[in-house]
Amino acid sequence: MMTTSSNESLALEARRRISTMAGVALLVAGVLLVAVVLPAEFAIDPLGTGARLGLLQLGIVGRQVEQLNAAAETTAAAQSAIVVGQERPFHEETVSFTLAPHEGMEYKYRLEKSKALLYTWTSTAPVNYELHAEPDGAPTGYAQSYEKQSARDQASGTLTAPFSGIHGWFWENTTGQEIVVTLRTAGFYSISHEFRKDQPVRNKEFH
Amino acid sequence: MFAMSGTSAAKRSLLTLAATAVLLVLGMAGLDAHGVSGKDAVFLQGLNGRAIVPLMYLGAKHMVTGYDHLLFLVGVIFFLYRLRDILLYVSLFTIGHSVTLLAGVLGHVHANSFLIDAIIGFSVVYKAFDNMDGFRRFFGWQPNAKAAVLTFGLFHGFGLATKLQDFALSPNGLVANIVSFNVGVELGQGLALSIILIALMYWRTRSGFLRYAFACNGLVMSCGLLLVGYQLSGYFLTP
Repeated sequence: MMTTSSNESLALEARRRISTMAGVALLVAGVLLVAVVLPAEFAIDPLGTGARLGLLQLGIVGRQVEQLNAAAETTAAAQSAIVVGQERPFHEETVSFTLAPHEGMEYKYRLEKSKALLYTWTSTAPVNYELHAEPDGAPTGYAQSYEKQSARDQASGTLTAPFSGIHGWFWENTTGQEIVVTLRTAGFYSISHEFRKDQPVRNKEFH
Repeated sequence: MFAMSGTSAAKRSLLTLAATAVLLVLGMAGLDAHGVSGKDAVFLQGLNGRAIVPLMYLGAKHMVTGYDHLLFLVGVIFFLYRLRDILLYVSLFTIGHSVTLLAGVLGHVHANSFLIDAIIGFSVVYKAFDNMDGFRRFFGWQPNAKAAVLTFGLFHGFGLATKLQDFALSPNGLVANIVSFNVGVELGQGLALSIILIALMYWRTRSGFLRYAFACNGLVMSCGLLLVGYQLSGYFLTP
């Protein structure tokens, strides 16, 4: 009788201990989920803790990047018009860039959504390049990559902008010598930007 | 001194739990436990033909940096003292996840990775509850631990498979590549297990082990619950 009741109270005590620990575990996990993980991962901030801790921005940027990626996929698939008329004539230019040994640079055109561009570029030596775009309103540092290759000395193609923004190339001179990249384009662009490290952006307007 | 009142014990476990869970969340930022990171993903998609060593490396990396798998392993070997038992349980886990990793990728079985990862989180909660002696105390019944490890092993392997299936892997050399990834997973698991075991064995020699073992399993449970919450949020909130 005595042993049974003390066994029972021991079992009761053990159950109470486990319930308390499980409850605490659930509470801690719940608080962390709502206060930290939801704002940082999904930009949902019911307690305002994400904004106070600066975590909300992490979630917002993540959301934007997801939406931009999804938008690029769907618009690329939807662009199938054969003839798209334009109100103004297209622009064309041939430009040459000199790249110092191991220098990288970017040249990009402003294209509104669904405007087209034809291009050909050649280089005096193989370069690494990436054709990419920065959508308007995207978080700083975000770029949508279209094509990335190494050791090429020319490329040609057409580009139809999946969104409004600046679209263009990054070239990298991997050799120890100075090289020249020559770009020929025709398209419905309005401005071009030349980006080089530690130098102001050089803009060119097309009227 | 050692007999703490209920409230102060609860307060102390709450503090330990909170502090370590914060560390876990911070750690998550540094590890890419879910999915394969950017440059590795590009490599996988560009693959055409066998790449045995790179796939082994990625498998090992996935395991060593995969906190969900590691937490489960901590739970499984927490109260295993004999090397024979450790080998037996780890083998069961290995058999389980190898079967579903190979069958999932080669048989094109698709599952929602958020739900699979939520189940993996649940496996951590389950094992922690088991380590707290919860089944015997509450239900007067001890479920077969070996069967549980094997079953959850199947889900862990399915989780690994969904990560790989996110990439359009070339059918060229696929079998060799998946087997290499699996071998890498085992190597990574062996490496991670050795580190966990060394830490656990050292901890067991200290007088405080049994006193804190309960709280530690509470912490593991909390982490598991957080993983479940995180994955279910992803399932419902990701378009």
